[in-house]
Formats: sequence, C-alpha cells, structure tokens
Amino acid sequence: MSSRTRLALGSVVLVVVASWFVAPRLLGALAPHLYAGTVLQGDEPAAAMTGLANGAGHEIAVSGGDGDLVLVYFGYTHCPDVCPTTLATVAESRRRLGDDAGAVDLVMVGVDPGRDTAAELDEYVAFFDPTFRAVTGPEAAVAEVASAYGVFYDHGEADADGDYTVDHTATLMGIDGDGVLRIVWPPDISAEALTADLAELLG
Amino acid sequence: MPRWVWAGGGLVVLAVVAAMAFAIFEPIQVLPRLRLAPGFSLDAADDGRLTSEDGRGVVTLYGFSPLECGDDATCNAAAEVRRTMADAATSMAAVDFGDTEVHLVIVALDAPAPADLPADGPVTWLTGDVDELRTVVGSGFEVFYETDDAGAVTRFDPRYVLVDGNGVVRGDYRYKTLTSTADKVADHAEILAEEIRYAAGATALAYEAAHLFLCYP
Repeated sequence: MSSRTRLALGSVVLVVVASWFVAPRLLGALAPHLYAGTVLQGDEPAAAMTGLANGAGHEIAVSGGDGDLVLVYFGYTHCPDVCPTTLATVAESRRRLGDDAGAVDLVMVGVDPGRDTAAELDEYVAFFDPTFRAVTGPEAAVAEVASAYGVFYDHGEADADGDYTVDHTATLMGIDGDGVLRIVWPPDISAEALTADLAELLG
Repeated sequence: MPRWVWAGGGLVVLAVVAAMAFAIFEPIQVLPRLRLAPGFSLDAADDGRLTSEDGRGVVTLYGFSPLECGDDATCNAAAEVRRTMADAATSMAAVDFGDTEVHLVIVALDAPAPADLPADGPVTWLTGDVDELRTVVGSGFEVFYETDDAGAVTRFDPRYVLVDGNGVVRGDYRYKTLTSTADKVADHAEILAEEIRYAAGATALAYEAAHLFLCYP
C-alpha cells in the first residue's frame, strides 16, 4: 500500500470517527429543544402573590421581570411525598446548572396556613436549598393566588390525632425573565429534564 | 466557487424555504397554549364537588350563565349559552379524541343551591358561593358579570373556554362572528384532537415545531 493510499484511508477513518462524535452534537444544537414542560404562549404577567408574605413579613414579587427565572410551587410542610420530591428535584437541578443557578429562584406557596406559619415554611424550604423562599397568608388570599395559578387544593378529613393531608395540584411552574408564566412541569419531572428546560429558558 | 460552498448554501436555502412553507401552508395546525385555566373546586348537582384536577387528561369546554334571569337581554343571552353548549356537545361528540374524555360544563353565575342545578343532558352545571365564583369565574376565567344586591345576575358577557387535559386554555370565545361559536369550537376541537392523537413519540417534535412557528408571539 502506497503512503498516499495510507494517508487517504487514514483521513477517511479520521473523518468517520470525528463525524460519529460531532454530528449528534451538531444536530442537537440545531434542533429545537423539546421541552419536558408545557410551554404557554400567552404574554400576560404572572399573578402577583397578593396578601401573602414570607417569614419576615415581606411580600415576594414573582413577576418583576428582573431577568431571573422564578419557579413557583404550591405545597405544605406535612406533605408526605410529592412536595419533598419536587423541592429536591429543583435543588438538584440548580446544582446541575452550576454558575447559572443564581438566575433560578424558587418560591413555595403554603397551602396549609392553618398549620404552617411563614417562618416554618421558610425553614422547611431552606432544608432543600438555602436560596428557596416561601410565602403564605390568610386562607382567602392563598385560595385566590392558587386559583390564579391553576392550582386546586383541599384539606382532607382530620384523623383521631388531628392530622390531615392536603390534596393539591402538584405542578411546578416557571415565570420567565419578563415576568410571564411561561412553562408548567408535571409533578414527576426528573432533575435531568428540568435542568435541560431551565438551561434552555436561560438561553 | 468551491462545490462545498454551493452545497452548504443550498442546504441553508432549503431549510429557510422549508420553514417558510411550514409557516405558510401550515401542514400541521395547532391551537396556541394561551394560559393556565384557574384552579377550582365547585359544587355539582349530585352533592359532589368537581375540581380542576378532575379535568386532568380531559378536554373541557366551559360556558358561563346565570340559572335564573330577570330582564329579556339576560334571559336571551342565558338561553343562547345553553343552546351553544348543546350544539357544541353534539359536534364535539363527533370528534375522535381517542381515549381522551370530553366534558362540557356550565358554571352558574348566580350561585344557586346545588340541588337547583339542572341536568342538561351531556352538560354538567356547577355552582359555588358568591366569593368562590368571583375568584374562579370573574378573576380566573375572566368572565364579566354583574349582580344586584340579591345576587341575581343583571348583566353578563357570554364566554366559552376550551381547556386541554393539562389545564391549559386552548380556545377562548367571547365575540360573536359570522361563524357560530359551536362551529368554531368544533373546528378547534378537531385540531386539538389531532394534536392529542399524534403529539407523542417522534411526531411530538413536529407539533412542537408547529407551536414554535405558528403560535409564539
């Protein structure tokens, strides 16, 4: 085999191997991102958290349009499964985002104001991620904000010990940097899929 | 000019033409995902409560009307809502939604007792207390209505809202046009049904592309 043929064959092998690794990445970069969440296409600002406050007694603006993504979740501290799972998923996604994590906030709205004070909610969400925030308030104010976010919740019957669960919509919602409610994720979203969506939303 | 430049340029032109053809000829039609429908828990006639969570995985058309009416204008508008919902029920029943259920709901604006709610064939009536209705119907579904001191509805703007199984508003009908609301709903139901049937697996990408090209502001 001549040196010229060897060079040609070597080049072909090199091109094939390079294509094997590069092509999927190139195609991935060109293809539109397929969101795991449901993207909303309206442009109305997200509902304000009117009448709700954090442990320090301050209202939290979620649609200020300051460029950060704000994730909104409705839950309560006695929640046995879905709330801790979702909060842990968001915390894991923020870790995976690395330096971009600072542009992602989470606010949990407490749907059990009879048991959870704002201070207890603050402590609860901080267990998952110290940047997480929480708000709650009078029942009527919580109900109004929940309805505006498409969230239903209902306190179940108390057992002999006075314990009860709260059935609630467990979707996770994302408000974009312009203050528009832009995306809704199902409760079983994985950290991997959520991270991919968040990275895409952050651009 | 080298051949690879021509080839590259041709690919770019092809991609642009394909995108334009997709936007102009709309081989796939989709309804925009407008906003989240409000969350609620309201009373039904059978002593039960119907919640927005019951609508998960279900396509629902909501209408809004008082059960009782005073003046002619309100009575005519209320009768038209019932007629439109009945027509929509017939036309939506003919649409192939696959395994997806379809619900038709009228929310009573004058907060009657659940026992007074009528059984309107395929349409389910819901009611609640005055504050609940203000929150869900007035603020949430953005339906305009006025009541007098006794709670009777004196004026309302008929509105119909088509909500998909994810609780997202896909159609909002509030103005009269030459095409009847029931016909518009039927057309949109066809489009939504097709998206539900095909927006899984590989075709999901095509539907997301359709949303991207046709719906984004």
